[in-house]
Amino acid sequence: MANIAVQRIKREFKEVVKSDEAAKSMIHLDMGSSENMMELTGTISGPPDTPYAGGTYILDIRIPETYPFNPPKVKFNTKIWHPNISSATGAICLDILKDQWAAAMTLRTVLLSLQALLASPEPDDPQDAVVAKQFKENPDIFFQTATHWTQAYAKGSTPVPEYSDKVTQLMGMGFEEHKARVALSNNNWNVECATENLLS
Amino acid sequence: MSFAFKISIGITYMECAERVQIVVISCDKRYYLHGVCREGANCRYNHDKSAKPSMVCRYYLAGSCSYGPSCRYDHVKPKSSPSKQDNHPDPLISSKSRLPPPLMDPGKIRGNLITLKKGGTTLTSPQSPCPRSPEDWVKANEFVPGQPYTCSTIPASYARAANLESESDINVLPSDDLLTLDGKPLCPYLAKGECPYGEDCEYIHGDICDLCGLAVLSPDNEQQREKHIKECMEEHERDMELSFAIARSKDKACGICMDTIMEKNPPTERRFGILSHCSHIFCLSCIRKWRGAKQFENKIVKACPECRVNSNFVTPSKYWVESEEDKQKLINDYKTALSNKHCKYFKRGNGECPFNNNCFYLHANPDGSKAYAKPTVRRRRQNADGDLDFMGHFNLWDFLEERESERSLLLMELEANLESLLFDLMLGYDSDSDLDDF
Repeated sequence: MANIAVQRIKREFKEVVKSDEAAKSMIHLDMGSSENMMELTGTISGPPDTPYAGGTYILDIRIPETYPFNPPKVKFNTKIWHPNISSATGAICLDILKDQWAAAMTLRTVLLSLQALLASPEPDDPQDAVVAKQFKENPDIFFQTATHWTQAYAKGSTPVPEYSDKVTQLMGMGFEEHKARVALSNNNWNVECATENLLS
Repeated sequence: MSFAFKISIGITYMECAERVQIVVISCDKRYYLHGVCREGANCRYNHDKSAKPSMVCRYYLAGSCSYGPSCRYDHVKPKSSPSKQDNHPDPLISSKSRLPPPLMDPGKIRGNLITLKKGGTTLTSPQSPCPRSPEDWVKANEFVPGQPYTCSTIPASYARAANLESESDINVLPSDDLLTLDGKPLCPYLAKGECPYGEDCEYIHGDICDLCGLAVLSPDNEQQREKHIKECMEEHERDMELSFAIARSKDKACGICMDTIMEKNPPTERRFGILSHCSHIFCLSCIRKWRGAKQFENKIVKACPECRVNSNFVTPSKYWVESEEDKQKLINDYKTALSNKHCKYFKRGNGECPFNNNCFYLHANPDGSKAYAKPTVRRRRQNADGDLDFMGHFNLWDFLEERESERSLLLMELEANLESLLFDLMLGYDSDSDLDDF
């Protein structure tokens, strides 16, 4: 069975490499270090006109033995601020990677679907409740936070000076950078709440 | 010990009788190879271990042997003229086979094809007929002047070329058709390809059919000619259809394993699974596996993996069907074929099939009569709360039909029924004892 999986991954690899999207460097697939092609690394670029624009997101893709009858296990390696992606673990909430998988879907369609997910978050079916709440209640803060995370983790080029300053401020208090950023993001960039949160 | 010896003699004798048609065969290996052939040098079988049995390949005689030079049977045309007394030589089992096997000196006959005349004398063909070793290749028919060129490795039709494994029965003609007006048979050798006896042949040589290229047309039997040409046309049309089917199936790749289906290995895997409600391409094993997947909801796996359109069943097909008309024909043929097989759930009346009258398989009673399920009677009753309960069997097919059409009343009924059942359960209401009242 694993034979079908390996055969298919080889084909899909070629498909992604030859695809138009790859030519426009929107998606990219890497074989990674493993020799059996069961662990791959995908890359998607943040879609334009979103807070993720300009960012490059790395995805860990694990192909199950039963592929393509079961979906690949995909998670974000790059930290991202998105209602349907866990900001802590990178786990993705996307129906096609769970119960809506179809055997005819390929790594290319999965990568494109994830890109589409970045462009249209589904706060009603959240993976990260804090992010989803912020998305619904403070869309402006959400947008700024996501942009800031893009710049901080995904090589994005749009800085948010206000947030960067706050992170630096907390770092000056002796907190680790990532922890400081998470605490600030979770507390709608209220420095006092974030400090309390970090100390508790 | 003596008992065993008797048995072995018996077997030898029987094999002699069975293999009388083979002129030279190796002595049964069990006896000679173990050094126990009691006939010794007098054995009528060949004691040369390297010699292959000289059996003429019947496919070669018919014009094409797909094994080509590596065929284990002899690729040689009968050369010497047969005796005129032979009355019905069948080219496949030659007349000589009916004669008692003669005693032969094994030293003389090694490796050569022996042709017998009536009376038991032997004629040895002058050259080794089937060049097997590389140094004999030069003696192959193709290089011998005066021999017609018959390339045994080139298949006869495009359909064969594209699909060598297919069991196409092209050019198989019933031999009883080869009769002239007054009932005399046409030369069967010529009908199969060429007649080694040429002018001396005692049979009437038929005219060559333009379509199949074989001399099977009786010169005077108009009816036979017409019949053959008609058959040949039909054969030709079938062949054309087959080649179109192969041509359109050739580069189709399965949407699941992404393999080209016609190139899958083993060849038994080269089957399409046709979905009734969409035209996406899958191989049979993949789509069946997907539809049998337990890890997803039924709605997901019974839908096409490409377009998510629901199809209730998969039709296996050797070739891809493009047009809706062909597809309907295929599905109808499939249903017809299935309706002749006994349903494994109905068990000839001993079981119960969830599909009932809509089952594709045969529901027949042991006496062979067709069984028609009684219409299901749904009983109603008033439950403790004064609501209406529906009891009795529901047919799976009803739900399948239901899924195809819009939401119908049936499902509402079922839901209502389920709800009241659940309610009963919650109240600890013993519905079983209540059933007896009805």
